[in-house]
Amino acid sequence: MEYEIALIGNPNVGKSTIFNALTGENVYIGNWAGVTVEKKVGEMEYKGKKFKIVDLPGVYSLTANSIDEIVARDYLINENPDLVVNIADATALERNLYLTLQLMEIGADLLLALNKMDLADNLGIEVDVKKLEDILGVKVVPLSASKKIGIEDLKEAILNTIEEKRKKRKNVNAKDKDKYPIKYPHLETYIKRLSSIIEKDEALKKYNPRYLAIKLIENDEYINEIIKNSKIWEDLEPVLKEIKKELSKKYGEPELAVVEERYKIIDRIVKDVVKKTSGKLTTTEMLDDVLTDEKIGTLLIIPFLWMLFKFTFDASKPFSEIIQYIFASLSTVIKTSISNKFLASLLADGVISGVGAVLTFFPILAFLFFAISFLEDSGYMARIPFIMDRVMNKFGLPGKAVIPMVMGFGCNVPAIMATRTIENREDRILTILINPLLSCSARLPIYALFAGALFSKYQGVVILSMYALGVILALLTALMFRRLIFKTSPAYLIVELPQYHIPHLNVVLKNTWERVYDFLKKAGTVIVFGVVLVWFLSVYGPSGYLGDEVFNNPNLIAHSYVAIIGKMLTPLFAPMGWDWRACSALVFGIIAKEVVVGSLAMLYGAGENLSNVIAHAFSPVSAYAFMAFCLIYLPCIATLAVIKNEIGWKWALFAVAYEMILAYVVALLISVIGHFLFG
Amino acid sequence: MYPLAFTKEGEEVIVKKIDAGAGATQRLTSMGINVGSKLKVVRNQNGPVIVSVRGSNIAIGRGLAMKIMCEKC
Repeated sequence: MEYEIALIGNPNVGKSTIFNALTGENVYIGNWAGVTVEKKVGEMEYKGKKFKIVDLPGVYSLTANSIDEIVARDYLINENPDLVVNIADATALERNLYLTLQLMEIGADLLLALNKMDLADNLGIEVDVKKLEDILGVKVVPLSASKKIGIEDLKEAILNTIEEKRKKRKNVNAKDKDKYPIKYPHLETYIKRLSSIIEKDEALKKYNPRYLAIKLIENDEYINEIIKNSKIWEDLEPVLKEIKKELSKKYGEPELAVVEERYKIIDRIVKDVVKKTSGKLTTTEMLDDVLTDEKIGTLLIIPFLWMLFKFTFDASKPFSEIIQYIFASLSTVIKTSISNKFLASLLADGVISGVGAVLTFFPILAFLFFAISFLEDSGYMARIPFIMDRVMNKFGLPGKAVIPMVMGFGCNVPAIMATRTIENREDRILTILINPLLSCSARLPIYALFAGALFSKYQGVVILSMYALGVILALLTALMFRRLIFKTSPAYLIVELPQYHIPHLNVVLKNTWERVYDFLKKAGTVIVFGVVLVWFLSVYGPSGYLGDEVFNNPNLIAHSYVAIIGKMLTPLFAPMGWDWRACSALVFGIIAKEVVVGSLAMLYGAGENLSNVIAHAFSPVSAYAFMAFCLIYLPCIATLAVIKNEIGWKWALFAVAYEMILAYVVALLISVIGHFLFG
Repeated sequence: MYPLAFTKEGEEVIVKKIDAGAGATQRLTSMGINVGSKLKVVRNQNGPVIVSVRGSNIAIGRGLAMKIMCEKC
């Protein structure tokens, strides 16, 4: 027999620290059915009993305001866990109790874990745990998870609470619907009238009638829908109407009645239970004085983002190179040791290089997520959207879009994964769609090749202009999509600024690992598949298998499918003046943009003197157009795989179509204007 | 009654009315900002407003801060 326990709490209460402390190594990470919200399930063993621990998303409330809230609510109603552990922040009990009251309304079997007791102590906040327990009718366990104080008490309380409830249930054998002493004095008569009608319907038995009644008064859309489709709606409708009318007179709107009553109760509880003594300046206040200042804070954000960027891409570089080296040698070993040439090439040039392509992302992602988790855990991350909100809003983007945009200059894959902090779905889709336009580091080799070959005097300016072009197109696209597709303004910024603290290494490392693992598992297969497909198109032609010599023989690869695709594309790109080799190289660029350079070398049969060959095959105008095209066209396979994971195939295909068209238009414009100016 | 966006840093106000849509109002409510809450304005420059409410600091976008009506307390 295994007990199921759910952890729930506001964001920043230290929920993941507690989850980590309770569960061991065996953590399953997946998604909640149908949505991209992360689901974490772990296991705990205590006194011979087994517990399944489900980590619910961090929420402030149980309305249906965000996917996170819907996920949490649906789980509580449908799965009915043995115990819900509500984790609250002792330094902000007032706000945290709002969720606690709603959990009581829903009728969950509850235990309150009061975290950050040490911090509360430092701030001069005293919480009378015993009294809180009496008022709420719920076991309360004080703890400081980051200092590992109180974890054993929590485990014991979990076991005891579950077993006590089991015993009670056997004796009474009835649903104890009024299990909590918390009542809303001004609403109770209404709640009773509604719930007495609701109880008549057997089909609504899985809900707590009190919860349904409160939600009806609160005008919750989801519950309204359920009740409207039930048998009792006819009896209930006139009663509900009357109640709402009465409440409107008193509170303005019936929804406000429930909110107001909840906070009234909370105010009274807090008055009884919490004592505040000193009011000295905290570290957080001092830091925020500087870090959230309009001028200094904005100036300081630049070095912070620069460090994030440098750390991610520079620190990971040696590791990526080692992985590349290992896979390159592995290919060589396979090619020399397997006599069947077809099989050897499939393994070496297809599968191994595909797996290698996935794994070279591993260090970049690990370092990025380490840095992001570090900033998150320290509390600084929440301040970034605060500072950037106004600027980003001008382009129809939310303040939180800054971080993914900066990351995009390194690699679009982690950048797109970093959009997960944006709650509003439309805001998130928009932020993802513009991201491939930001010039990732894989595009630099292409710029370097062409700028070196044709613009030797202005190399720096030409390369920089590509980055600028990317940013301009990204912001213009954001503006345009906001007007044409989403037609809404970005969601208002409402974000809690948590206390700063020194990050806990184990939390940071665990978060990092979970995120990287998630990428490898999901995007990995798509990338490997893509690489193998391109391999297939290179070694096969209409005449059949060409042999793996194609990769060294430009005359041979001219007969492959890739070349044929390139030749088919040539008329389309005639206005830009690119030959079929350039077009074929673009096909290879789908794997990863830097592959374009290697492919050009292969297709032109040029090794070291590629620069010279390029200088003859392209004019400055056609080269500039080619660079711009490489910047914009098609996100690479890895990026595409991540877009698909995050927001689905529909948007991934939309991104492909949009970027292809945009790339073509921009390249064409450059050619036309270029020819006009320079003849 | 005046919008939260017009308050001064250090000022303490009571929320009298929230004119935002249902979604934003609910989010504010669940983070401790409802009609009747006492707010202390921590930061109010040109960007979002930071208020201290019920023991935590919340940043509110300027557009939304225009829709939260307050009174001095």
